[in-house]
Amino acid sequence: MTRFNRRTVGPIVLVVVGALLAYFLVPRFGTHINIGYFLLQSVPLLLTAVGQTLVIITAGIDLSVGACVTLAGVIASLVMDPANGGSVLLALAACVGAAVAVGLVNGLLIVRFNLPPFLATLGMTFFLAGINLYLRPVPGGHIARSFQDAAATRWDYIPATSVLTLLLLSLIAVYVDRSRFGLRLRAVGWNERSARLAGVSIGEIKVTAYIGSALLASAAGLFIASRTGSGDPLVGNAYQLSSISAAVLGGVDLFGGRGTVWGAIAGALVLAMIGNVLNLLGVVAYWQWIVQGLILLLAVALYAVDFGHRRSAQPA
Amino acid sequence: MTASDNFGASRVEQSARDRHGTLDVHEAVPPAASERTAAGSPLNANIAAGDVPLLELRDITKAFGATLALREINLKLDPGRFHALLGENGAGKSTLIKILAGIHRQSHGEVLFEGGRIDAPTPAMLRSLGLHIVHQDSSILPGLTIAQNFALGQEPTGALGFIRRRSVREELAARAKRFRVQFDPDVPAERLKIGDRKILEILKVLDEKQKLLVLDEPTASFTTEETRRLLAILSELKAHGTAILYVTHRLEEIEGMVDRVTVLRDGAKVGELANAEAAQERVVSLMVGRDLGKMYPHPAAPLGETLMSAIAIRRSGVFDDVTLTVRRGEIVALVGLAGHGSFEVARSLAGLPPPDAGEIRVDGKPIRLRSLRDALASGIGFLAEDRADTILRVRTVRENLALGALEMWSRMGFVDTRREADEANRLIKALSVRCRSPTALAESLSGGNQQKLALGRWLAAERRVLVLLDPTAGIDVGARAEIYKHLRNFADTGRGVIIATSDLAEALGLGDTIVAFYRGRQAATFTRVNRSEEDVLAAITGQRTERGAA
Repeated sequence: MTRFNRRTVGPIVLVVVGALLAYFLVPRFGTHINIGYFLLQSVPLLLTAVGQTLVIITAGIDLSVGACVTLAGVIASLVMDPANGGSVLLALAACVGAAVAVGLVNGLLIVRFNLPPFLATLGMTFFLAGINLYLRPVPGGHIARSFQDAAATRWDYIPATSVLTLLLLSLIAVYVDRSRFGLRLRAVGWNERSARLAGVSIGEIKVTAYIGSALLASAAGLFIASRTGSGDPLVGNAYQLSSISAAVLGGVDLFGGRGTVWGAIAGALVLAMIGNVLNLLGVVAYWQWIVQGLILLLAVALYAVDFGHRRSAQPA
Repeated sequence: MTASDNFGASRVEQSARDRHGTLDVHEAVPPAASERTAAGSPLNANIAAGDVPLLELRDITKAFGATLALREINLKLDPGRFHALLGENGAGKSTLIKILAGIHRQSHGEVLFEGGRIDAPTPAMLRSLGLHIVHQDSSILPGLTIAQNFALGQEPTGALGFIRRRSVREELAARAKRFRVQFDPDVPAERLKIGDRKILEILKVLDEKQKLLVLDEPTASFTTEETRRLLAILSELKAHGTAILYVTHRLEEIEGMVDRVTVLRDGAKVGELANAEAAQERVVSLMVGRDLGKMYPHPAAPLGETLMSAIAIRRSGVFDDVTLTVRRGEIVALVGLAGHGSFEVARSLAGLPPPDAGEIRVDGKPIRLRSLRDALASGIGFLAEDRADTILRVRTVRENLALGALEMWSRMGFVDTRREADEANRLIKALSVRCRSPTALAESLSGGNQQKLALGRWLAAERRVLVLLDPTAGIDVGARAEIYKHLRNFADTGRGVIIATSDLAEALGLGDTIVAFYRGRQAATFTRVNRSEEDVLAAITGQRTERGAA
């Protein structure tokens, strides 16, 4: 039931135009090696951006995404360690359990105790940062070879994990577009009071959104761990804010209600593409930040600025 | 979510009723809902006897802090009856509806539906009982499409929680057809007119189990045509046995349809009348009470010379060719439906934003009005309609009173705190602001007393003209009368007041001059001699268009 407008079409145009520009203007962008690399690089950002989007649509924000990414890697590096039994399944279960707990606590702090989402998830960030450093003060631990290999599977030059991630996120996008949960998610973000009057249980929807965000962050953390082969207590920090940037780039409105998961997917791809292209061009890191900042502001202006839109003051 | 939340299931229950009579319907009440009623199931053996009212309110009392919003309200409503709940703004009508809806909880008393007690209901639970409430505030979300709004909260879902969109559309089309209205399911709701939004809300709640429809001031911002359409739908419903509880302060619009009328005043039930047609005058006198004269003080002195005037002011696309004057001692009331210009003109007089064209004069001299700052410098004081915009909630009473006059009370940029305290104490006394102390936080005051602070700010600042938007919205009757008195005093001491109000009774009681707006233009201007509510209403709904110049 998505309507077509600047916010929904814009991000897709950005991806397509960006990819074409990069393909034709940037040497080596279109090589198999780089495309495979780009697809792998973008996985954690895709996952966290979509999780973040679920929360932002409810007019909330999840700052604990980064810490949650880290937590999954730290847990995996401990549980998969042969010294601790080395079970991959147990590690996955532990990551899922931890994510559900994090999302549940975030959601309950916001719904039951009326904390602003910013504060609740900021508190959670510090709490998890402490736990992460306590469990794994320095990078290390062990990620099972079998898990690493599974995550590194390639079909020709295309990484299987990237394809599966895009598939999963597309399913989530369709679900949010067309399910009862999706409709209620948007209703809560548009206007909580009206949604409540219509019979929507606000708490249920919000808690689910925060759990979804934590689960996707956890998946991102597991993926990163599979690539590095170890747990790192700081690895997720970048995703705290880049997940928000990707969502905003994808047309998701920080005030809630407006925005789609498709947009977030597109936003994450654009953001990852910018990084990739600038790397290929050998641009120094600080320039990359400046370019990202400018593009983000430009995108927001594109979505939010009212280009001479006529407000009809004359009631018909 | 319970099964009864989707359209498919409600049809199943309907057929159960057809086959087995009314009692079976209660078995369809989902357990989650009946568990929440204090007395267990709403099912009551007395229903079969037929002498239990559909809805019964017993001694409903509601206190907000020290104020009693409702005092021992009793009301009975039988199936298929159209019951009107009348009262002026602030009489307690909406509070009563909010108790029914579970938004507020009564301090005393109980609500019985078909003989079963309802306690702390949720929207889903009420819906499953067949009790539907359409609130004064719209529950329509402008950002969603009509179909999405229609489905929200009662989505028919298939596997995995996907919405069955076709069934949403079919149900919407079926209900629209029944009431001879049309809705395009894919249009965003923001494009609907206010009247159509309300009708969509009603369609939404009309599943086949409904027994009681409660409407809280549904026609507050309707055109006459919209009101007519709504009432056509209601009479169709009534004919099919749905009871209607209709909250309004305009009896005339439901004349001929209504079976019983309950009148509230100041939170108490002051009368219940069997047939409204014969009782119009009595109802009005009950609603208003005998203190009408005290509520709205009359001017003490004849009007003086012109203080402020707006000549042919215009804001592109908002209002056009508006000419107004305020004389010494005069209260000018601007009235009109939302969006038709009355509030917009008032705001423009305070520079928010300034008019695009035309001239504004104060004391005969044209002023340059580019912003609120310029308006303030010309001796105009402004109060926005939302108290959250005027009152600093977490600052003290004293600080709030001082805001308008800080410059007058300052020396070399520092506030003279002793003077501030003295002036604040004087104002607290003059306005009879009820607060624990001058250093209490503004948020600890009642709405009426907060409004007095906002008003006091401009009294302290010695304004010549006050521009106020809905100055008594959401304020109890006692405080309203006091605010009217202060505004009258302000005018009587040789100054002028312009109020934009959405309360017609207020305009009629307080305004020495009433300017009615329709579609951004002055539709008519009335003075105190020969004007009636009907005339003003006709002017703001476009049934009377004479070019009025003050």
